[in-house]
Amino acid sequence: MSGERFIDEVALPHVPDADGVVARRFLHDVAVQASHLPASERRSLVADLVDHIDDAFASPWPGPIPVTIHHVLDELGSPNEIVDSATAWSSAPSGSPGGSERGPSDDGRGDPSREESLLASSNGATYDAFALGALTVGFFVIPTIGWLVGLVLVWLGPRWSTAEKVLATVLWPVTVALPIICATLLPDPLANPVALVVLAVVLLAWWPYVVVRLVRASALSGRLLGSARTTRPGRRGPEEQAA
Amino acid sequence: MGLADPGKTLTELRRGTVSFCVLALLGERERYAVEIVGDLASSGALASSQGTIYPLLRRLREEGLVETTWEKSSSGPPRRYYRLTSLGKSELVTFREEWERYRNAVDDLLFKGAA
Repeated sequence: MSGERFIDEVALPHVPDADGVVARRFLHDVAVQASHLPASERRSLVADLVDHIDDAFASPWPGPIPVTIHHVLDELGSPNEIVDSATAWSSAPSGSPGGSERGPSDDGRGDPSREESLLASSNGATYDAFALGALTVGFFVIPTIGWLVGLVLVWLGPRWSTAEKVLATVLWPVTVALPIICATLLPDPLANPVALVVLAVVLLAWWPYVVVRLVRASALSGRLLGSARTTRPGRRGPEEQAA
Repeated sequence: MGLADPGKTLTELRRGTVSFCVLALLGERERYAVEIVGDLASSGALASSQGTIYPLLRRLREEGLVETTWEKSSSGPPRRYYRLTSLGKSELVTFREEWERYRNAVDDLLFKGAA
């Protein structure tokens, strides 16, 4: 969906109609200026701003004068300023227009040459699924090489943090090392059912933990605002809120 | 002014440390987004406008440093509450130690000949 179309669907139930028009114009400008960002980040940004604006009108205002949309938007800052920040904090391998600095958690993903190669080789969810597939079962398809390909793809993947990449790297080594350690420490591990059960439980917990974390990080980048909104617990419709 | 522009330097410092200021706020107690933004603005730790914090909050969620839940509000729409994860707590502890060392080193240099 283009940057501006979904603004019409934005709900601002606590904002008076006239102020809502001004707010939507502001959100439209943010969405248009953020068109270089991935759709998920653009929508997440707009959703957060919508919640901020709506909350400002819904909450008791501390000042003597009733809240105005101009005051709320002044405090939020200009669309340009907000989009510069969104660019700086983006986890996507895109450029940073306007020379925005990247945040302290950046792990080097802002390097232009690397971004180009990532953009060429990465196709969002398909790339992530292939990387995870190669990492987890690649060994059985092409012994050793399949796993190494998965590792390289995970480390080049733009959607995972360094911690998640480290977890992906040690996924198989830990799986292989644990039984070896057990066999070394226990003289006859097959005769010790408790050790076998503990080992099985550890391995059964280890795999879902790592895989779910990697899949979740990948899915977060691709999740659309629409689906996120429908899953919010306690989110009520405008009619119910007005009641 | 060039390299020795105090205003620009302080802005860069604020930008560089704002993520840990958010983590520190959440280290006290969980907060919802508007509260985080407001508390940062009133503390003077915010380099620019309030809206610039939202992209940072999204990044902190993505990095697994904070987690969120939606809770009903008595006065308005449901609010997204932020709290530190164990990873966020550990990063905050590390940064506090590093910051103390750095701050003391800078203070030593800055104020040596000031008196």
